[in-house]
This record gives sequence, C-alpha cells and structure tokens, in this order.
Amino acid sequence: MKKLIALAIFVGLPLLAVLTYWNIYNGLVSSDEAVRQTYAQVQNVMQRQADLIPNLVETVKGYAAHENKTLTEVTEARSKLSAVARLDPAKLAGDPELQKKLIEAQAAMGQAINGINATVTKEAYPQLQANENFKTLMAELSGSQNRIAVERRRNQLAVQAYNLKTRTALSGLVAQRHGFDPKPYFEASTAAQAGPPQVKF
Amino acid sequence: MRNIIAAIAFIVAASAAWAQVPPLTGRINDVAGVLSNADKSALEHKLEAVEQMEGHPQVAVILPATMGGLDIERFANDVFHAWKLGQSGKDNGVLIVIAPKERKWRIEVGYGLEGAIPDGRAKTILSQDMDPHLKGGKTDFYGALDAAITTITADIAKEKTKSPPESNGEGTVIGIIVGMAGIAFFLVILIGGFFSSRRQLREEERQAEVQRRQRAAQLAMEDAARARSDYYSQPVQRRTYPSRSFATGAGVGAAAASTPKRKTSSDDYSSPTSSWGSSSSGSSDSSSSSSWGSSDSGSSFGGGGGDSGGGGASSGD
Repeated sequence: MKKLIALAIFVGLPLLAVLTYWNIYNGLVSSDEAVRQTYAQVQNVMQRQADLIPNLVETVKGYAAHENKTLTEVTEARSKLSAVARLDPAKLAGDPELQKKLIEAQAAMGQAINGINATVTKEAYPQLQANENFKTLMAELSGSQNRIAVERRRNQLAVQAYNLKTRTALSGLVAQRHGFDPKPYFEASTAAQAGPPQVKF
Repeated sequence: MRNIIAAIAFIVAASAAWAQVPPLTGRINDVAGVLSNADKSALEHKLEAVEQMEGHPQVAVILPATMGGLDIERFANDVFHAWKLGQSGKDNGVLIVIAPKERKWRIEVGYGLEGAIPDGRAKTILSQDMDPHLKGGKTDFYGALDAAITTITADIAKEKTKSPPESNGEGTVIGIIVGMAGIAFFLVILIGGFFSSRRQLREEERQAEVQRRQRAAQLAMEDAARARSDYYSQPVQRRTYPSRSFATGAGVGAAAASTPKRKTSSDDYSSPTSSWGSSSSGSSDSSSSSSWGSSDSGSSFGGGGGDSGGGGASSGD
C-alpha cells in the first residue's frame, strides 16, 4: 500500500506537472494565434472598405465633375487603407507604431466619407442624392466602418485574454520563459471613437 | 498578490467589454412591452416559417426597454453575438432591433447572410419597409416589423435559389472521404489531447472560422472589383462563400483542407429545426447545432451558433 502511494507521488505528480505545463504552453500559443487572427480580420474589413471606393468615385464623378477635392481625399484615404491592410498581422500585433498607422488610416477614411456626405447633402446635388448607386455605396461604406469597429473590439478582447495569460500566476511564468510578452492594446483614436459615419438623406 | 489583483482587474475589464444583453426568450423579444399579444404571435408565426427554409436561417426581433447608452450598432452586435443567431458555421441569422425609447432601429445581418442582404440592401429595407411606420415619432412597430420580415424572408429565399446545389455526386464522395479523414483525425485529437481544455479546442475552431471569413471576404472583394460601377444596378451572379461544412460541393477543397476536421459529423443539413430555448449549461453537442440560439460556454465542437460582424444598416429619428 505504501509502495503504491509512493509510486503515485513519484510518477503521478511529475506527470501532472508536465501535463499542466504543456496545457499552459498550448494555451499561450493559441491565444497568441488568436490575437494575430483578429488583426488579420481587422485588415480584411479595411480592405473590403477600400475596395468600395473606386465604385464610389466613379458614381460621384458623373455628377460632380468639379468637386475634385473630396474625391482626391477619398482616393488618398483609400491608398492608405490598402497599404495598412497588407501589413503582416504578426508584425502588427507587436508594434504600436504600425497599429497607430492602421487607426489613422481608418480615421482618415471616416473623415473622407463624411466629407463626401457633407458635400452632397449641403451643397445639394439632388440627382446624386437620389442616385440608387450612390445611396447603396454610402450605406456599404458606413457599414464597413461599423464592421471595422466590431472587429477591432474583438481584437481588443483577444489581446486582453492573451495579456491576462501572460500575467497571471502560473501561466505568467511559462510565458516569461518562452518569451510571450504582453501585447500593446490597439487603442481607439478619438476620431474613430465617434462611431461609424451616419448616412442621412 | 499583485498578479491576482491584476487578474481580477483584467477579468472585470474583459467582462465589461460586452454589453449587458437581455436574455433570449423567443423569436420576438419585446422587452419594452410595446406589442400586443396578437401582434406578437402573428410575427412569431412568420418567423417560424423562415426557419423551415433551406439551411434553417433564424430571424429574431428585439425591442429593448433601453440600450443602456450604447450606439444601436454596438448594441445590436452585442445582442447578436450573445444570442448566437443562425446555425453554427453558417452564421445565417438576422436581428431586427427597434429601440422605442431611443427612437432608433437597425437590421443586423449575420456573416452568412451578407450575400443575401448586403448593407445597401439593408438600408433599402429600412427606408422602404420600416421608416414609413416609424419615422417622425410614429409607433407602428408591428407594421414596421411585419413589412421588414416579409422583405427579409423574400431576400433570403432569393439568395437560396440563386446558389448552386449544395452537393453533387462527386462533391458527396469527396465529402465522405474528407469526413472519414476528419473522424480519424478527431479520434487522434481525442486521445492525444485528453488533458487539454475544451477552451483550447474552441479557440482552434474560432481560428478556422476566421480563416473562412477571410476567404469569404476575399471572394466578396473579387466580386466587387469585377463588377465595377454597374455592380449595384445590375443583378450579380453571387457566389456561395465557403462555409465550414464539408457537404458544400465547391467549398470542400479550399475551406475544408485548412480547417481542423472536427465538425464533420455535425448534421447541420439534416437535423430538424427549432428546438426552442437556449441553454448556458454547455451540455449541448454538435447534434443540437440547429437549436434556437443555443448559448455560450463550451458546447463541445459546434461552437454556440452564428455570429455577425456588424453587417447591416441603421436608421432612426
């Protein structure tokens, strides 16, 4: 009987320790991966928005040939957005500078959309306002802003879950040993916090 | 000690990240109490019929007493996420929100129905079907819901008939082979990962889901690029976006190959629809994937159900 207990202690405990360690390590790896995936998802919805812009420019051009300023702005915003959407999510996850760029690109796009919105509503292009293409595009664009907000929130949750693991008692030790550092938060800029642009006609 | 405090702070922060969501009580969740019983049951019947359609899409309605100071976009997404509308892996749910107090309304569309109801279409439904009953302080909630549900149902049906058949002969054979490989893989995982937690498995499942979405988004982009400016004025032959299910003919190659092969035995297509009432106990398994809005916490492999990425449109006074 005593032998059995001794066996249990000498074999069972180390085994349990190893399995716990393994479990914690795997948990860290999958949280880390989840963070990257959420960045990729944010970039995805950004690219989706960028891809809508050429259609918008085409539609608006037909009605407001002289309104070049807003169109240039939106085209510039688009190229910024496309550029950040192509960044490597793994790099993005650890680099606050790149994250800042991402946020700025989104904010710039939000402003550009609002700019077109304001021009069209205030300066009265009644035909453009009534244009079905235009209405649909603007709805898709503001929907895209909302999608970006949603995916960014999910990203924050994933980073939170990951950081929690790198800091709490046992898994914190494992994380330190294997170089799982806490990740910077992908914080909302003031412009982006204002929510998706509203489309009102 | 500091670690523990940090942990608690994090947990509090994390739980604060999702809004407080009213419990799912049925298809029509009239928390504000503005619908008569007769109206409610009429709408319930309409929504029941939607679930008999192919793929068992789910449409739910909430009329919150208050949105707790949140934007309607945020509120709608949180409710959708918590209720997990739509079938697992298909995300074919729609949530209609009307906030009588805040005077805002929104149609939130699950990932899987963004093809049938893109944001532009959602906006059109709002302005044609809902705004006339609600805008300018009007309170014909029943009229707005009735009209919107009719249109949404028609849109979903249209999309279904446009998409190619779910499986042809060859697809089925491939499906079976992939399925068998999946079962073998599943057994290995089951034995090998006996001690790893359920949460980890869910994590992987979610990553697979993200990959699938990326693929879907990519296809959507290609569609948009190809169709240029006449995209919205002419009917576009839409593709079926890859789903996690293995029975889908074309999706098998790309999507299935990269996903952990766990969902193979799930009977998304065959199970009868609509057992009502959600459970948070986490005892449900993949065979209950078509139960109504089955809720969080560890249903073993199927995840909880559908999700939305903020598709849809909003309106208000």
